[in-house]
Amino acid sequence: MNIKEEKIGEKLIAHIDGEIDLEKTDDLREKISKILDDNSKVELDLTQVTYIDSSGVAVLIESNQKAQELSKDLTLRLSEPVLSVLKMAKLESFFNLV
Amino acid sequence: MSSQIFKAEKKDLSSIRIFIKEYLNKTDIEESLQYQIILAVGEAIMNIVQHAYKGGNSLKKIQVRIELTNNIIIIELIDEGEKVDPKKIKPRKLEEIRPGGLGTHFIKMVMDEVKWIEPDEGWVNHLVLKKKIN
Repeated sequence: MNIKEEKIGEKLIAHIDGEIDLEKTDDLREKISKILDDNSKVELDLTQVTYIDSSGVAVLIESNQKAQELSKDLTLRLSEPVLSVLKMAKLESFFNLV
Repeated sequence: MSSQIFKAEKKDLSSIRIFIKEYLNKTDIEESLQYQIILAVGEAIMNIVQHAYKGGNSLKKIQVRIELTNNIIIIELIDEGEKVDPKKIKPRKLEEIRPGGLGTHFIKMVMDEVKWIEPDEGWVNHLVLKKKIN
């Protein structure tokens, strides 16, 4: 899993690629948390994520909850595998998707 | 049938998924169903690492078997960790949105059958997952 940051105007886009599983989620959680601390508008670009499990979904939920607590604007852009897993968890309307 | 033994650590999760994927690629099972099967197996393995092996144990092993027979995919996960009590495993209610508790839900959504059987000597837990392929 790789994370690359891109700033466009006031929005920070975190491009995440590869697989998100239990091995990677601590690192992902820490990085997204810092990004949310430092930016008012954040997009998680997950279009190149090929696999996500429930531990990865947990990180997305935590990130969304943190964004709401901090009144940050968080959006997600998803790959088909990530969308299918969020649909299995009935979470597709919990997030702001683009 | 294909069978392999892996170490019981987080960093071995991707190797197990590759093993499952390589077997499934030799079948006619369509891509989206392959993904769901890999997800369910990944969740079961994650539960083994987190709960039976309390976060992971490089000295311990997980045996993974996979076979397609009579249009049923059968995956067996055999470990030597702490004994599982299946009655204590419950998925969370999906309406209660919180991190965690989704793994068991994903496994039961994908698989037609999830059961523990008596393991061979030397092993502690033997989980059998079955999925009928139409």
